[in-house]
Amino acid sequence: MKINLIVNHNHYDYYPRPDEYLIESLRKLGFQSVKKGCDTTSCGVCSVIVDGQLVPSCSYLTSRCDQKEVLTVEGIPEEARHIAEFITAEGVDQCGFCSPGHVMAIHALKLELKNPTMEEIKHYLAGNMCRCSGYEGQHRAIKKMMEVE
Amino acid sequence: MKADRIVKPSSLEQAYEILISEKSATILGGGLFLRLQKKHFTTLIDCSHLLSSEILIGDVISIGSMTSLRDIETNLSLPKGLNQSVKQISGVGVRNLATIGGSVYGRYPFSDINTMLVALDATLTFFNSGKISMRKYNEEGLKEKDILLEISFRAPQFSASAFYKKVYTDFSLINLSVSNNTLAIGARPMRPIYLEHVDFSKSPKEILSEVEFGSDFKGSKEYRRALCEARLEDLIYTMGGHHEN
Amino acid sequence: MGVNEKIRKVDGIGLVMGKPAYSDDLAPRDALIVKVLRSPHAHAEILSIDTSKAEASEGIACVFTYANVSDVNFSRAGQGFPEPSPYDHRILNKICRYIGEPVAVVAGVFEHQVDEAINKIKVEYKVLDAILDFEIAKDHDIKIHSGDGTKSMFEIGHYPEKNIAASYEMEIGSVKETLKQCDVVYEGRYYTQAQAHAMTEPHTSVSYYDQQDRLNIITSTQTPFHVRRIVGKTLNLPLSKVRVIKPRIGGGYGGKQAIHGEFFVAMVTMKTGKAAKCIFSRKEVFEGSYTRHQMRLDIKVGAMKDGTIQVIDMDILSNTGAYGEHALTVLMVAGSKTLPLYNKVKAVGFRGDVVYTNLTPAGAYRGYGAIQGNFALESAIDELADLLEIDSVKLREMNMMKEGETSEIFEIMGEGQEGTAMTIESCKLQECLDLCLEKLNYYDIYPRKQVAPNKIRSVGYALAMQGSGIPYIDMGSAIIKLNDDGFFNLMVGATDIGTGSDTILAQIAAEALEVPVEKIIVYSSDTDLTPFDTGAYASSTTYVSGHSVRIAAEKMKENIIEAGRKHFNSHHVNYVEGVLTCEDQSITLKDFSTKLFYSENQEQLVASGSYVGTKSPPPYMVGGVEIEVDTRTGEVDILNYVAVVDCGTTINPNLAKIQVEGAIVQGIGMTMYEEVNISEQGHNFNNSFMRYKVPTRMEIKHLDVSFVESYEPSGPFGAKSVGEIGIDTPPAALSNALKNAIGKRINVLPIRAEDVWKSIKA
Repeated sequence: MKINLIVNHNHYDYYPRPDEYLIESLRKLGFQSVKKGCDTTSCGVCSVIVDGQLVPSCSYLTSRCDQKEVLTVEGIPEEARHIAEFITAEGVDQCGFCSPGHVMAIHALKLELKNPTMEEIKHYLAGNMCRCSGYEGQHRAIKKMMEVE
Repeated sequence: MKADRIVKPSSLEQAYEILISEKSATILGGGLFLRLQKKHFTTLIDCSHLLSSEILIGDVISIGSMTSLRDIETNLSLPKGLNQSVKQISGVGVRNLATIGGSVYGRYPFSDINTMLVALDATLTFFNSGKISMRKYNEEGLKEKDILLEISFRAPQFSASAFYKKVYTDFSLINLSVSNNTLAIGARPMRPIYLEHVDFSKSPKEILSEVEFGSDFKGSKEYRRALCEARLEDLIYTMGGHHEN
Repeated sequence: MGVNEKIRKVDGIGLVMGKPAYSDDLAPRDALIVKVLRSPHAHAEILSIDTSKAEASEGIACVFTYANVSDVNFSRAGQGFPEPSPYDHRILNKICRYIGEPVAVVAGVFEHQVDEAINKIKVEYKVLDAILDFEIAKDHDIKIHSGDGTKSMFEIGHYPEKNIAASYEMEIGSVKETLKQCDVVYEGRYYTQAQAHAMTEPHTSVSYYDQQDRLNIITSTQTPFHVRRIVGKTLNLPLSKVRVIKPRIGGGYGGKQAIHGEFFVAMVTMKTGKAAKCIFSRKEVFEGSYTRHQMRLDIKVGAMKDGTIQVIDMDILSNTGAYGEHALTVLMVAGSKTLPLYNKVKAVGFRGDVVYTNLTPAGAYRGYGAIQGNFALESAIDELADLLEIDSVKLREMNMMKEGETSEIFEIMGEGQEGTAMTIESCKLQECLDLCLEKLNYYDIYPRKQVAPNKIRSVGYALAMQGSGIPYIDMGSAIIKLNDDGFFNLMVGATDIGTGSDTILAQIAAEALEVPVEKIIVYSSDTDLTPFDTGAYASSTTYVSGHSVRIAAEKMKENIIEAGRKHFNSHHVNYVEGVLTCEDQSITLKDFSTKLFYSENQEQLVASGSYVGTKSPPPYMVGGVEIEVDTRTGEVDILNYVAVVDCGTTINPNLAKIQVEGAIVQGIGMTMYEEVNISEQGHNFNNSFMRYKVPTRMEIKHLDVSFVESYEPSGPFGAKSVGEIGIDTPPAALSNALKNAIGKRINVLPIRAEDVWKSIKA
């Protein structure tokens, strides 16, 4: 089955296997920011945005992405840089493996929530695991970036 | 999960035809639990374009089977207990993908939303089997595979949901839901059961005295009971009910 | 210029923006996919293994089993050579000793082809009885390593016929006699579990032949030089034919210190000539890599009525699983990195056996030994205070290590060998304790406050110490070269696994060279291009590798001045902040270096430095926690965790802080959430992130990490280590807080809510 996969506003003719997941397709297409952390949809490391919604790319069948707009960190360089500036200013990037998924989650959060509280932000990001940082520094960074009271 | 093909049928009739003609064909909901199965499917049937993901609010509330758990979480016109029940099912990304239809169809005993739907006495509408109560389906399932179209229920005057999770996004060790004076308890770890005409002025211990709990490596039945009593006590308190002090 | 600055990690922005930088990102596009068939049995002998159908399967390049790979015994521990770990491992074994042990390695073009081929391998197992309970392993009839060539490189108390991978014993003074003389003796037994590292990047290895037919391995390792040595020796390759590159690593915490998939990809490339890559599934990471050592700790602490602690005795049973990586060192550290905290004792006893079981091996893990030992010791001190009816704070203050003091233990116990005597030149435990208790409002809350009908708040705390590298073993080195335009390349063997060590080493170089950090370009961990370093473990990078960088940088400064003398034709040359001056003349490093290459006394300036520690100054910390307990359910909310740390100079205060915050949360995870449940067959139920629960951000209500002013004279610019110390306190601090809340001691990790509930009810 051929699909029209739209990644970061570019169109690709793509022939996914029926059981191929988006993470595999995106990495094959060269979007190496998308990382695989688990096999059980549990860690949020592979998060991307499909049609405006945050999803785990490890569990989204590529076949179901026909004509859908997929966004990875590579597709939001300015926004990603903005977020990265705040994260790195706290030194909380650490190993960085969960960072692209975390950036996508923050991006989705900013699109979706208006003037969120820290509790709402934490709830939104709860599915994004980080083993290095202990999270607190991430929250300091986000608090500054989003000017949360 | 392995699959030989994925199809997008042009009608539900066609989808149903494939579903029952192939032993290892299945309807895709959000596809999350499907992914974890070690099964080899001949056909994955993607009906997302044929099934509703709409929430209709009225005296009777109906929710299309493809509605995401995230939409259920954020639609504040839905009963509060239903919003609460999905809030800690994994993260936002998972809830964006996971559908109410997938949760219900799978009859997962640990499901937080299923317990709420049992409390709400929801009615399920299947493509072939027609209407069947959530409670009956939950106990017995269906004889044949089918396509779930819609979940509906009468809007309750009051509803609430609570659970215990070791960490925020974990599966529940116990969950409970209240709809008016019905109480449902799930993740016991057995399938949810319900108590009707509950007198919430009684103590949680009394209310739950007949409820059976089970043990697994996550927790003993005695502990599940203790958790359930405490959660119920807190629910009754938020309902403005009795509470010591 | 560089030290004690909160600068960004040099690779931070790029990584957050998703630049390809990790092992799999750098794999050749046509790399063969390598996957592993693993044992479904905890203990079994392979009677026959038929791979013919798999080999004939579409897309398959090669299949390996025990029958066609090297049968050399080795240790995959990834430690200094010779290793203090038994040589009990082989690449592939005829005997499977745990569920998850590799049975066959298959390489093919596409992943689904490899999966299909693996399904076609027919293995006939003779299932053997297994030992799954480490408390019955010693002297058990079932011998896990017998007649398999298992040996040790030197005396480590290795008795495979008794199922003992390593054992150790020491005594200072007479424990027995001293205990008799004590007014009060506390005895307790503590258990800790086999925690999983749960780094987000699964173990990943890539290999290929380069244009010189040399085997290149790109791998997610903490020890590239050990990988080169172990892979080369085991596969009978001259080390000159092997290059190991460590790219960016998605977390290690000790889990990537040992060898994992490196052999498999290397064998495939050697056999096929093709590039190969092996990425562990998350299940493989859980079952097929290794865990923290599960332990049982028996502790006795004796004191006089006045609160002077006379004697501490610790007896440990440690579970190393099927193989003995780090068996001895983890055991010893449980004593050597805890017992010196109370150095005024008359007698100290420490002994332990590390037993084999048919479970996933145990290995290196951040804070190894120390976190287990600390749980027992710091719980015991609180218990002793209760018995003595003395404030635990006063008891600790009276007995704890102080600056200028020493402990005999330093000399007797090292890591896998004898230790090194040292006087503690920096120890701000008192300051840490004071500040921690103040921030915690300890005396306002202690022991508990009822805040609602079913809610109790309480506080607890623990002291901790670590080390800074292993003296006379851990070695780091650095090379610095000056470039035109006046910037430097800093090449280090040190291994940045996400800790930010590239950055802090650049800061140390910048400080010594008196230039902005941007002038230092770091390249690390490539066995061809960077000098030797033992690797990222034992809290050694800042202290040991950092020292080598300082030495190299200072030599470079000398070289610059020397070259400047030629330029000015004078002896009186000064170098200050990137400018050479001679009387009233001056030249910037930028202009000078360009001349050095193109027009005048042409010369490449290079300097190197290497360093081996002669001591291992401990960083110290006090960790305190405020909790709220629901007395109906035993649920514990961690409201605030306060850590005050003495790690000497913080080279980068931001990165040091995150090291501690991250370590605390890993420690909290081990203490409260990270359950290991093994079935009767030896199967690990919790082998996915769906079942193995590391803390989410919602469990972490508030962390408060600060550093006290401290300067370690032996460290680079006053620094000690900071990578591990943060993980040590949560078990004891939380157990102490719970004791204060409910009056009962919980002595088994993890502390599940159900255990607290049971304890309240009992």
